[in-house]
Amino acid sequence: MDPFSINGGACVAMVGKNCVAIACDLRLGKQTLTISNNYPKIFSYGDTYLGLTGLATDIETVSTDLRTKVNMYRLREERDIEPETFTNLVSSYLYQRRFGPFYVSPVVAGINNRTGEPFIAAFDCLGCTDYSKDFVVSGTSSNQLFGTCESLWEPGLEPEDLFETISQVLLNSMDRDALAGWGAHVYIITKDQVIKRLLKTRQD
Amino acid sequence: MFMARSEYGFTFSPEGRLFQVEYSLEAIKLGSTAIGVATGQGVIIGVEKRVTSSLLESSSVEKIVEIDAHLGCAMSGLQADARSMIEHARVEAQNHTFHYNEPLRVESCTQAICDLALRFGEGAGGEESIMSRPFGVALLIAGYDEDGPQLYHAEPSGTFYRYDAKAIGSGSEGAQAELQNEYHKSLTLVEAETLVLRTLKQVMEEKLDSKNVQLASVTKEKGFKIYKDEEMAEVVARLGN
Amino acid sequence: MAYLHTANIISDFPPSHHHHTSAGPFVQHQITPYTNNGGTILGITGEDFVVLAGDTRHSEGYSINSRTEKKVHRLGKESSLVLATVGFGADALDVVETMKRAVEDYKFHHNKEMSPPAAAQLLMTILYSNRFFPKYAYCILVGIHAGKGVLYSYDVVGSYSKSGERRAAAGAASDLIVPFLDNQVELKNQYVPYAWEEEIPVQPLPMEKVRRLVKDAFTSATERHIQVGDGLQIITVAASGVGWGVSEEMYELKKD
Repeated sequence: MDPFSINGGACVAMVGKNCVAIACDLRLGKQTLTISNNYPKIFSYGDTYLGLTGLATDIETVSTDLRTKVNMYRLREERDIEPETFTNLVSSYLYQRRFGPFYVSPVVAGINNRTGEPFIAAFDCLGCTDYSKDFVVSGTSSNQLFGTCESLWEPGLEPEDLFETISQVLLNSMDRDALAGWGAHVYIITKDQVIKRLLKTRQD
Repeated sequence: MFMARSEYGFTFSPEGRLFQVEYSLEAIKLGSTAIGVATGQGVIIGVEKRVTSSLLESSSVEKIVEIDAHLGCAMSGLQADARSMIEHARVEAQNHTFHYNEPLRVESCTQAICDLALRFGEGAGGEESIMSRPFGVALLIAGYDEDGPQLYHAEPSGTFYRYDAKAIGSGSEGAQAELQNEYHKSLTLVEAETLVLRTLKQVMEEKLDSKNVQLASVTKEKGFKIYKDEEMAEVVARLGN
Repeated sequence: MAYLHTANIISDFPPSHHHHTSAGPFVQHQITPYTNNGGTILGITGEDFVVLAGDTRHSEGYSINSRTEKKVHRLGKESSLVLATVGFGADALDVVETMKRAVEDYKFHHNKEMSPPAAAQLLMTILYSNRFFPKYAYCILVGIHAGKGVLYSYDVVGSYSKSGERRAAAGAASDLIVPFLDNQVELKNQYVPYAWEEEIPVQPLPMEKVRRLVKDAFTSATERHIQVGDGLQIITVAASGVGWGVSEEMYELKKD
């Protein structure tokens, strides 16, 4: 009955050479029962991407609340929110619920529009930020993701190699987690384009 | 004289003999003849069945039994004693397969049977004795393992030896002499069948027919097999007169 | 329940919430029959060899008891059998000692070395004989059988696959290592480029590649798991023609 593992799900983000990638599975479950195989966990806020795993109802709430906040930011600032700023927003937003948290583990990925620097970060459900230069993971497959990331990732990957790496990492980790899988979305983000791919995976 | 001997019970006599064990060996000499011949292709064991009455159902005389798929044995002496030895061997073989997922070796099986043979008398070393006297039966154990086809002879004394060819029971002296003359390393299985039957025929009091003898074989391909009536008839027919 | 007699330790484990809190005439002493001592083991087979490895950290909670405790053991001087165990250190070692003795006994009784399939079945019976108070030891057993590397892995009550496995990992960081092995040994999720859904065929890996995978797996696990590290013990059993040979190598892992 751990709220973080009722619905299941996996998310991972990685840094490459002038690019970042973020990927998630598509399963939505009610404990061992699969409810849906089309439940994406990555949301875009301009050119910044957010992955959310955890309790599905909180994923809905957090992603829409953040949508409102990012829209307000854009109207006031008349520009897209940068990944670093978005990260601070996620963090302070989650900490407001310090004593009644949203049961989500967010992951942020994007490229800074001004500097062109790739950026990724992850959080716990209270908003404690984990900045990383290589990869971040979240969800019920986090152990598997850590193992595969640590073994397969290397610095300076070009976009296509980064795509292959993050896909292999996610696929092989998902396959060892009964609560995640059933398809995957992968985003490869470079300064001037974003490629979204739907991965065909084993359906069990 | 008899009383003087028996007062030693299960312990050594002043001359260093164990009379009870020696008597048990005598008991075997009263038993029906059993013969085993080992060839490169397999082992043949054969027994005479001593059908003592025309009213006796010959198929109920069981002197050759299976221990495991690759192990069989022929007996001579007190059949009832053989029952518990064979039961022990069967359990030992099944236990081995259960623990090691492989067949029990022929020598290990023989050893296991002989371990039981000395469990008579007062019971030394704390283990419980299970019998008041030694077994009155000898066994010819035939089997196949990674060392090929093998034949062993186990005595009530608990000693055992491996043989190329061995005869036990009442006709054993004559039979063993015959085997000594006729055995050679390149015998085929079919030749061994004939040799066993021919030797039995020479030492049997009754006239040999397909009802009063029984053969069995152990081969790599088929394991232990007791000959069916038709197969017995065929081998007996091959003997001629 | 609070103060029956000490023979009840088993029925009181795990601790129930029904204990009296007031001090009675007797003090109930609780013992915990198991401790998790961490660590990870990993085995991979090749065509005519098998590699079995384990880290050498032995920990209890946040304390490190030893940085040099080996988990991979040969079962006999003349035997190709090698057994690695993790879990509760005492139980793990007991299983190894029991197996060593059984391998020695077998030789006396049957005049031959115990084969890996025989040892595999025996290990199952040993583990299952403790079904209702299990030895908390996850086992990986390897050896050379008929000129080929074979590997068997077990849960704590002896469940195993008679046909053996290509690779296995157990212990604290098995979650981290297993999907990596799926990918790199079993070639899971790998397809022939530009050929529609054609899987890359699985073939036995060369020894150098296997050793590299083992080291990569452990350096990765060391990076992300606090119970893994200090040292890496790798035992290789290689069949060469009719014979075989066993060699051991040690590597440093991070000590943080």
